[in-house]
Amino acid sequence: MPIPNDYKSVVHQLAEATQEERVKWKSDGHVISVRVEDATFSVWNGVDDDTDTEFVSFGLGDARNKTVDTWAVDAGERDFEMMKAFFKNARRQALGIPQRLRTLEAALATKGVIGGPTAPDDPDDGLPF
Amino acid sequence: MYDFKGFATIGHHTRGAGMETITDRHIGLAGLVISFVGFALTLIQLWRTKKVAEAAQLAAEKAISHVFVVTSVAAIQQICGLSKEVIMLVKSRNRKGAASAALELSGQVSRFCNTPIALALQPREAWSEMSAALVTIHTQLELFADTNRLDSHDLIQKLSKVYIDLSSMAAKAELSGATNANPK
Repeated sequence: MPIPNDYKSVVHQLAEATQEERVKWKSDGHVISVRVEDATFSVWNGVDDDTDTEFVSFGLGDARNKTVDTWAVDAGERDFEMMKAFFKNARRQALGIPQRLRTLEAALATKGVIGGPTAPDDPDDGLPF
Repeated sequence: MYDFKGFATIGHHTRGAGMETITDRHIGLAGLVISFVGFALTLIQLWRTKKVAEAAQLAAEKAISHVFVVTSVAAIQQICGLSKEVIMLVKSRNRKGAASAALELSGQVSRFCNTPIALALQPREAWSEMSAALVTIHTQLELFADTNRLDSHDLIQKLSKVYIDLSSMAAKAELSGATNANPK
């Protein structure tokens, strides 16, 4: 389904604000979310096991993070590309990618030697699958 | 053959050729000896009673501890089984069932993680991390169930990690329970 009418304006404004890096997105594994006063907005993307179709979902939660409404846009539907771009942008910001790239650019601009000790190993490495 | 003469001499006793008089002094001495013997016997009895009570208390404490270990081993095994069930439900694409089971798993881990056995199996921080991961998994499953779309790849990875950690702890707890039951 395309973006529901009730959400169209909010989603477009959120996507715009994300583009301008004005939204503090948080990554919770697969789901990217932002809390604004007593509401939580979540967005996530995946490939449905049943239909093998890619989707982008949007969720609205209450103050206690209990989901009150959700909807999804599937690949091939109107708004899918816009929603996917929005999700990717939100995810990049939740993971701090733009800031890290800027830090690297600034370091490279000094023309000096860059790099330091590597970060400690991720304890989540070595998954069985 | 007793000749009562007031309280000073209470009698005469004839034994062979001589005759002895049982005086207050003799009675006093005999009484003292009896008192000492009685007191000593009482002390011995008290000591024995105390030993028996202590042994009984020790046995009771040991029994309670054993029951606690057995219960905890059963609990961690149940939690481990539940984590496997969640994986199975996700794999069978039962979104709502998986979400409910994940919530139950999260609750059971939260209850178990503060017990002494749980803290002996892994540090509190590791339990907190697992609890947080389970809350995230449950939230995602609820969202997947709501939208009727499920991308299980990431979830299966996370759940498998939880299952492997719990299995390893269940084995450790079982071993510790067996050692507790049959101390060498």
